[in-house]
Amino acid sequence: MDNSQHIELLCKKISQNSDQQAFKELYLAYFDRLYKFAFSILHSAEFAEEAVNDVFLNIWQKRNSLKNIQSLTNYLFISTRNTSVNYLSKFRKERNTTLDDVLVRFEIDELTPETAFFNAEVRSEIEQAINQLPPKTKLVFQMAKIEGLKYKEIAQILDISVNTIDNHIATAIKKLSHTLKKFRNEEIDFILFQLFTKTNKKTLK
Amino acid sequence: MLVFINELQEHMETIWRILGRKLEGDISPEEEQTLNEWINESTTNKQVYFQLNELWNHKQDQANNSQAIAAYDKLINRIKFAEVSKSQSRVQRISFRVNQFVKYAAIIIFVLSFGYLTNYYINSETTSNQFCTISVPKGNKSEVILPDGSKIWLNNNSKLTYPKKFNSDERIVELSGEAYFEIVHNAKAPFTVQTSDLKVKVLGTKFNVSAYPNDKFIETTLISGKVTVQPNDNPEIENLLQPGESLTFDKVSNEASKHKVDTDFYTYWMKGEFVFKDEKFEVLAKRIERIYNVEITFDDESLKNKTYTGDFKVDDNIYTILEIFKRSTSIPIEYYTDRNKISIRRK
Repeated sequence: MDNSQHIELLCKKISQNSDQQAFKELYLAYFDRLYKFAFSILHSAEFAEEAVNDVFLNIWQKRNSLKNIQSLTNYLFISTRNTSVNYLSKFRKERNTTLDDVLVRFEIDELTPETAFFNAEVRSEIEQAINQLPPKTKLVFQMAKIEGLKYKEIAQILDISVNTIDNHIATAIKKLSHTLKKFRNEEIDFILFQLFTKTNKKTLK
Repeated sequence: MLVFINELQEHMETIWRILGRKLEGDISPEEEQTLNEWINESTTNKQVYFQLNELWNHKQDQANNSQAIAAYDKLINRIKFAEVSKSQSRVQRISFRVNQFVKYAAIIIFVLSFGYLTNYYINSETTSNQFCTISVPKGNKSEVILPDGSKIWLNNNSKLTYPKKFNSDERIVELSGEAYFEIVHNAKAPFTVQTSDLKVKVLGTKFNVSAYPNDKFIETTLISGKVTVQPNDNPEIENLLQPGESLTFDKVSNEASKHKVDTDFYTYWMKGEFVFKDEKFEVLAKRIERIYNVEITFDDESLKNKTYTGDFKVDDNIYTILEIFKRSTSIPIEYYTDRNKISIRRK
C-alpha cells in the first residue's frame, strides 16, 4: 500500500503525542474495512461496530507500545477477528470458537464508478458472479483485491494456509473469467490490437 | 480423449491460480511464462486478462463516511468514560485522605467549643452538600451504592445525580433514564427520585423508574414497599402505588394511569434474565428495544400479535435472540439489520 508511510506517521503521532486528530484519521482510514470484516463474522451491525471500537479502544489505551507492532493492518484485522470470534463464543456459550465454525456472510460493494470497460450491465453481472461465490471465497477475494493484502497476510488474518488462499482466489478468477468472456468488448480489442502492434514494432526495430 | 480433457482442466486450474498470483503481484518467472503463453493463445484470453486486470484495479467508491464518524463518536465516549472512571477513583482516594484530616480537625474543634458550635453545625450541614453524577453510556449498565447504603442499578444511557452526603431529614436524587432502586428504610428521611416531570417519594422499598428524555412516558413500577408519585407541576396530586403496579405518566398530556404489571421485566437487568409468558411479539419487541438500544419495526402487522413464552438473558446477544425468535415461530420470519434498526418480515 502506498499510504503505509502516512499510516506510520499517524502511529508515531498517536504514540508520542497522544494526538487525537491522528487517532481519528487512523480510525476513519480503517473503519469500513474492519467493520465489514467483523460484520461478516457477527452478522450484526451493532456488534460489528462494537468489535471495531473494542479494537481501537485497545489501540488508544496501549498507544505507547504502538511502535512495537510490525504490520498495523495485519494487527488490526487479527484483533478484529479475535474480538469478533470471542463475542461469538460468548453468546454461543462455547469455548474456543474458531473462524472455521463461523458462517461467514459477506456482500461485496457495488462497483460504482463507471469505467470505459464496465457499463452498468457488465458491472451488475460481475457483482452477481462475485456474490454467488462461497462466502469465504468472497471474503478472501475482497481482502486481496480491495485491501491489497498479500496472500501471506490474509492467511495470518483468517488463520488458513496460503494454499487455501490460492484455491479461493483461483475459484474467484475462474468464475469471473467465465463471466467476462461473455462481454467481448470491441474497444478492448482495439486497445489490444494497438498494444500488440506497438510491441511488434518495437521488437522489429 | 478423456485424458486430454482432464489435462486441459488441470492446466486451466493452474492458469486461474497463476492469474490470481499475477494480480496479487507475487509471481515467479516460470509462472509468468506460462501465463503469457495462455494470454497469447487467443483474443478471448487476451480480453479476459485485460478485463480482469481492469476489474482488480478498479477502485470502489468509499462507503459513506457518516457511519464511521458516528461510530468514532461512540468510541470517544467510551475512551472518556474509561479515563473519567480512572481519575474518579483517584479523586476518591484523595478526598478520603482529606476526610481523615477533616475528621481529626473536627474532633479537636468539637472538644474545644462543644456548646458554642452545636447550633451552628446543624444549620450548616444542610447547605454544604456536594453532588456526584454517574452517567452510564449507551449499551452499559452500572451499580451504584448511595451514602445511605441504598443500591441503585442504572440502565443503558442513564444519569444519576446524588449528594455526597444525604441530609438528615430527606434523601433526594435526580434521575434521567432508567434505574432500579433498592432503598434502605429510614422513616425519618424519605427518599425522593426527582425526574424531569415528576417526583417519586418512598420510605424504603424496591422500585423501578424509567424517565428517558426522549420517551413520551415516565414509568414507575413498584416491586415491594410503598411509593407515591407526584407530578412536578401538581404536587398536590399523590398517586399511591401498590406492589406489582406501574404508573405511566404522559409527559405531554400530564395524565397518569395505573396498571398491573408483571414485575419480572423490571428487575431483568439486575437479575440478568427476563422471563415472559404468552407475551405479544409487539410488547417483547418494545422490551428488546429497551434492553439492546435498538429500533424494531414490523413489516407485517399480523406478526405483532404472535405470542411467545420463554426467557432471555441480559448477556445474550441481540442476534442470538432474533435467531431464537426466527426458529421458534410457526410463521417463518426473517430479520434485517441496518445499524441499530431491525426490521422483521414475513418470509
